[in-house]
Amino acid sequence: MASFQGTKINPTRFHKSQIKFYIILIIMSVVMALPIVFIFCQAFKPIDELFAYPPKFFVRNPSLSNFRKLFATMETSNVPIARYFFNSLASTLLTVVFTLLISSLAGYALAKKKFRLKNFVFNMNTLALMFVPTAVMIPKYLVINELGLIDNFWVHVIPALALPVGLFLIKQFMDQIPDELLEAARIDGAKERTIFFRIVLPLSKSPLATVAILAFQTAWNTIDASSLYVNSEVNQTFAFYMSTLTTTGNDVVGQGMAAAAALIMFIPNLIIFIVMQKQVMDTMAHSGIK
Amino acid sequence: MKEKKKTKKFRMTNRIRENIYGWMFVALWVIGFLVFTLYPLIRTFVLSFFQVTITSDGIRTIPLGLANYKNAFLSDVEFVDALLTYVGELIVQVPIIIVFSLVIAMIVNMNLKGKGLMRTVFFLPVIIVSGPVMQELIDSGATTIQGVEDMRIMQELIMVLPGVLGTIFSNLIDSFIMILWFCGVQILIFLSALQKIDRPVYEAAYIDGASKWESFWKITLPNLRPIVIINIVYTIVFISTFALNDVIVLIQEYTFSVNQGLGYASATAFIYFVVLVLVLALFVKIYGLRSEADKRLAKREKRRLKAIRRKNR
Repeated sequence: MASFQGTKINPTRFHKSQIKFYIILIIMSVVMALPIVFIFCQAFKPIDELFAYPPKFFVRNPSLSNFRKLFATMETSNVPIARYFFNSLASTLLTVVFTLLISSLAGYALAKKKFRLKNFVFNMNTLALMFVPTAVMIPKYLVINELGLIDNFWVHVIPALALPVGLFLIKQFMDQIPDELLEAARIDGAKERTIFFRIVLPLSKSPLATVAILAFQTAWNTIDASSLYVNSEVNQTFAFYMSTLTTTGNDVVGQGMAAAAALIMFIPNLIIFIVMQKQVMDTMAHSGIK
Repeated sequence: MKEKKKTKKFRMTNRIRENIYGWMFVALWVIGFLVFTLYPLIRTFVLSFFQVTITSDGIRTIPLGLANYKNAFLSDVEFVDALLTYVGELIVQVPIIIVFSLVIAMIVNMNLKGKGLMRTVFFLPVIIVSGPVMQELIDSGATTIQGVEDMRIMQELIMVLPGVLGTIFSNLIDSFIMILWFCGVQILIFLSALQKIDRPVYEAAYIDGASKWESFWKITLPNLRPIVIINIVYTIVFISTFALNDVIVLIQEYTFSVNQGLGYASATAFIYFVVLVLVLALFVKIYGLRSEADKRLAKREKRRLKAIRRKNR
């Protein structure tokens, strides 16, 4: 984009008139970045600072004591931590991959295909988006019970696959792909599969990356599946283990460990975000179509 | 004759094939949706007409008719109040989020230095808001602007505003930073739409003497119309199903309380759902009014052109 010199409405170099925008942006981005700073600060606060009143935002004397306590407690666990970690990792990866595949297939059909009840399917999805998840919890448990998924590893993956938000976002973005492009491919003899994998998917990188981040978030952080559907410790996830660590036992010590655990849980999110964000920002302008 | 018949038959099969292809693509998703979303939803709806008690050997239900719904409106003190306050908040918050994310998207869309970094920073809240981190942040007061509430003007304003409005206003100030955090995906959606608008159109408007203000209202906004609606839907959905929202917390309490139970929780959840759909319809309607007017105008113009053409003929 930088080399594009067609219009001169926007100056290419820094200009005095842009200062006002910079000021707005810098203030806003500081506000946006605050929570991340907070998470890091909180994890390194010693006990007395955690309970200080009024609460302090920044850490004064950073210490590793929270982490030390956390790891000490971890060692007393009867199932190896690696097992929880593996469960989380495997279920999260599977969820993300299958969510992307299923939602993009469905999104493509809903955006570009003509078939009966198409609008009905999409409207149902949008309506379902608005329903309170907690109220459906117990009926959902019954369904999972009937399917025989209780205490099964796949219970982490399968119910999480039909992510309505994902379909919503992907479909809306795919609407913007011009029909002419697909028609041209079809005339050149491309099969449905080729069109989908070689044209539609590469053009929808941005929503796919967004949905990947969202799906990763929910899958990695959720403790619902472990607490509701899984009884044996072998199949529980890391997130759930972390939450049991910090809720059972001493409250005062628990607070510090919770902060440390929050940081540890947060880091994979951050990594995924950093890896994916380039794709997210790589919006339509770079795809060469208008 | 034969020729004609052949083509007709071909068209039929083509449509059927299109149908089959379409369904093949959605099939996987539809199955998942039916089993894990729609079926539990219907079951919840049925349960909302029962008194549900969970015992060790399964669920016991006693039919109640509409009593759960009646109770929610007539004898429950908390629920209606929480719902009304929440709807008020929603009506205030959604326009703020939409306008704010549009402004940010437009600034970030300019040729500023470091815009890549800026875009990332504004998308960053997405990974916080959905995580468990949020609760901790709210607890420790990191989501409020310290001291604003204590300012004299704010106190006066809250005092002057009547009843619910005052609560809404003070909640708004309370959660202002949080509102900004909800903007991540919306900014992204706006940004991608902004980049799709043809630059030459702006150029042409500029040459014709349009100011930036005018070209925003006459070019940018009309082009973004469908996107704004998408964002309204997304925002309402996102805020309303956010797990720390007051009404949801209440419904969650009902689910596990002895007096109310799952049946009552289901009924309130459905009331909440219907109210949300109404709010959404209201927003889309208000926003859509102008486009209706535009359409009517365009139709009239078309008719006029047609008349002229007919006259010339």
